[in-house]
Amino acid sequence: MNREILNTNSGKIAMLAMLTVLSLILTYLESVFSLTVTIPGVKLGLANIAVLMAMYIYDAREAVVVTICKILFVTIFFGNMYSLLYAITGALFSLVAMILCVKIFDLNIIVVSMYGGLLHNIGQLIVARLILSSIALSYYLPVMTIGGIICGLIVGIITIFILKLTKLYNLSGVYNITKTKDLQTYTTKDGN
Amino acid sequence: MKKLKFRDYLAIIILILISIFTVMVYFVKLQYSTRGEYVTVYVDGKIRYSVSLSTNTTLEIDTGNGINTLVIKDGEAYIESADCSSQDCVNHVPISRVGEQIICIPHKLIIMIEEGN
Ligand SMILES: [Zn+2]
Repeated sequence: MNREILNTNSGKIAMLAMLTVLSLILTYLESVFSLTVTIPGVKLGLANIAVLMAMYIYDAREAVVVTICKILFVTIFFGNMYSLLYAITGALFSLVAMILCVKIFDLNIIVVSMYGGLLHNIGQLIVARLILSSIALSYYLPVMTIGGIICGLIVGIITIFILKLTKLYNLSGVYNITKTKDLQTYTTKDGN
Repeated sequence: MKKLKFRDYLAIIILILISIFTVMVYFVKLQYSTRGEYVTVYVDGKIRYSVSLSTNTTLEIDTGNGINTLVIKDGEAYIESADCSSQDCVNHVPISRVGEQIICIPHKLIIMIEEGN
C-alpha cells in the first residue's frame, strides 16, 4: 500500500472517514451485545479502536476529529438522549485521557488504551450519578473500573494487531521509530 | 508486550491500585450491609412505592415513560419485564441486600433495597 497517498489531504480524509465508520459499527455492535449484568448503559468502548488508530496512524488532532465525527453520527442515528449522554461523556473522557497519556506521559499504546477504557467508564459513571442522584456508586465502581481497564487492554491489543498487520502507523512521522520498527518502542519526538 | 518502560509499569501499578481500592470500598460496604426489609421504588427521584421484601408480589409500575413489572419473590426483587429500549433493568440480577439497586435509565426508575425502620 502507498503510505504517501494516505498522508495527503484527500487520503487523510478518506482514512478518517473509514475510521469514523469503523467506530460507528463498533458502537452499534456494542449496543446489540449488551454486556450489562449489573450496570445500565455501560458500554465496552470498543469504538476506541478507531480513535487509537487515528492517533497512531496520524496524531492526536486526527483522534479528536474521529471522536467528534463519531459523536455527531451517534447523535443522528441513536435517538435515546440518555444513551447519547453516556456515549458522549465516555468518548470525551477517554479521548482526553488518551491524549494526555500519549502527549504528556508518553506511555505505551496498551497503557494508553487501558487509561482510555478506565476514563470512558468513569465518565459514564459520572453521568449516571448526575441523572440518577440516588445511585449507589460503591456497588458499581469496582465493575466499572476493572471492566474499563480490561476492555482497554483488549482494545489496545486489537489496535496494535491491526496497526502491525496494515503497517499504517505513524504516517505523519510524529512518532520516532527505533530500528526494531516495533510499535511498542514508539516515542514521541519531544519526549524520549 | 515487550519494551514497556518504567513509566508504563508505574502507570499499570496505579491502575492496579485504583482497582484494588474500588474493590475494597465495595467489600467494606458489603460487610456493613445486611438483608434488606423494604423494596423502595423511585420514579424520577421521588418515592412511588415501598413494599416489604418478605411479601411475594408482582407490581406493574407505570413510570410515565413506560411500564416495568417488578417481582418480589422469596426475599428477592427483580424486574420481570419492561418496555424500555435498553432492557438493562430486566437483565439485572435479583437484589436483596441493603443499598442494592436496579436502575432503568430510560424510565428514570430506581428499585432500591432499604432497611426497616
Ligand atoms: Zn429498563
